[in-house]
Amino acid sequence: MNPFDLRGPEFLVVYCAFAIVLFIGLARLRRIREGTASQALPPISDPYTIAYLRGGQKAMLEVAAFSLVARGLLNAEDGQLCASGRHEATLATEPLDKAILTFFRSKSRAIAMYRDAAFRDVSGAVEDRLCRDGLLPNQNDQEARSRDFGVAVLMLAGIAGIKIIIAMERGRSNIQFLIILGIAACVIAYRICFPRVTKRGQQLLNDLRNLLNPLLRRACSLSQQLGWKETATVAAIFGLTALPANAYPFVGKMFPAPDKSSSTSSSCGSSSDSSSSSGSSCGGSCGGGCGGCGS
Amino acid sequence: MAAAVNDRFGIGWRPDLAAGILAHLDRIDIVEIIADDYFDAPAPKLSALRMLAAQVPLTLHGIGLGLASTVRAEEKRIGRMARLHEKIRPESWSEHFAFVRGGGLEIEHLAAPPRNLATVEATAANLALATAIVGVRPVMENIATLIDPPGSEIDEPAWLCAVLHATGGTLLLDLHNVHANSINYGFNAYGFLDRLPLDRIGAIHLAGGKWIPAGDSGRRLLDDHLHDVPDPVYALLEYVARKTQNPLTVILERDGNYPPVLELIGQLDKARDAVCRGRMVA
Repeated sequence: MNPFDLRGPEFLVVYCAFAIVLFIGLARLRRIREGTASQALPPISDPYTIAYLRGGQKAMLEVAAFSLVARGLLNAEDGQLCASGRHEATLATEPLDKAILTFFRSKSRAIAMYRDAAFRDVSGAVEDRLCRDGLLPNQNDQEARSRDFGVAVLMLAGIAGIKIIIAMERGRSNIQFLIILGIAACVIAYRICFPRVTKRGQQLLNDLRNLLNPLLRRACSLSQQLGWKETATVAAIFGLTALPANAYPFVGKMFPAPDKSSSTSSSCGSSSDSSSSSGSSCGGSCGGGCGGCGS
Repeated sequence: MAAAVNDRFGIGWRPDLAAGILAHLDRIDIVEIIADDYFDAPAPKLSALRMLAAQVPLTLHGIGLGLASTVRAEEKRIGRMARLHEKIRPESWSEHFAFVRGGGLEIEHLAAPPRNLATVEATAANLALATAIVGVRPVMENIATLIDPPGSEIDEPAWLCAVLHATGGTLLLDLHNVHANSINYGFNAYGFLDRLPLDRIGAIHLAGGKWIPAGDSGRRLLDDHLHDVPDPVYALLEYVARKTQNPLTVILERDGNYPPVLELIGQLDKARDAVCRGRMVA
């Protein structure tokens, strides 16, 4: 039977089914091509690079600025930042740290740095590295994605277009649903074909979140124990909004717009006992070590 | 002897230390994972562990097999270790010279077995079983005990030597356990070490403890892993480094009461210095 001869509602169902199969195919194709097996060791110890992977230049700048405030190299006041003047070489060795301290030589709003050209070189170097590591799409990946999307749009728009023409030739004018569905399908195809990170990059972010999720649940009670680099690592993976607001009150004023790229939001519920870790210890549940069990 | 280039210094993975370990991975040579935390872990959690294993050598540390027992170890439990080992492909795995269950009861504690021929033979049999199922022999750890096991016919060094000889295995030498036992039972820790086959050390644990009251209004040293490594333990480490030519893998255990991670890294550096001193004197 010719699917183009189906009645409107029936054709819409078939079109949806076709689109779903197409979406699954697109996702699988991209997964196979971009892969999940790492070819290079991803930079999991560099919070700035991880932040860039999660949310681009904006996220990286936010985490870097936060870490500089945490280290006392930037002063934060009412959403404005200013270098503290303590530019000890040992404390600000990263190129991004130096660039931010230079930018905030005079007091400015924190969000002013988002679009400043001063950070283009540093961002470019980070992005290049992430592309080389297969965590962000490189030129070949982008070309392949564009080809996939082009074919998908041809198929989705083409099939919808043929049906619309046939319907109009037969005097049918109720084609709005099909037009809307066709546009929606193309948008979904775009989202599937062009995610910001590669499959490998997304897997790395998922892995890092899984490693740190238990810590995040206890972030309120642990904030005093976390040094700046540990906190920057948490912020890089989850976003600044994941940090307990009472421990870092300046964050909300520095960057008032919500960080959409974070996967969790800050919660500072009931305090938990920080004297023992979650999960097993080497002495079982009695609180002792390997062999000790108190009196 | 110059400082061995293959000596490694690492830390036990605990959720509270996760961010610190990731942030300072360049100062950590190996990470020890409590295996029992991951036996029933979902796929995403295991994927994260595999990602970590790609970044830094991992070793699995079991706490629930109870291999030092005259009761045959449960194959089902060993099977869980085997499956985790297969999925994570760690550098090594370890367990304790302890029993954790008996008479149908779970002790939920690492208990020292009576030190006699029967437990030597039974431990060797359990180790052989575990090795067969997992496919790799475990490194076995000496434990601290607040109770001198009744029914013991030999002392701890003799028992450890007997088991190691019977199994051909290697020792995870927990120096705080040696220190705590030497305090609590009045023997010389260095003499204890002299009686061990130090060429059979597969790894070293460092930890801390605290004093607790004893029944006779005295006090005992509890190996609770909640305190910093005390100086006598570093001294024992230096002694071991002097006595053996083998590369040492030293792992710091901390189960709670966490200081900032940089302080724990500092304790690793202190361990590094102790090993260096030991190597240079040898």
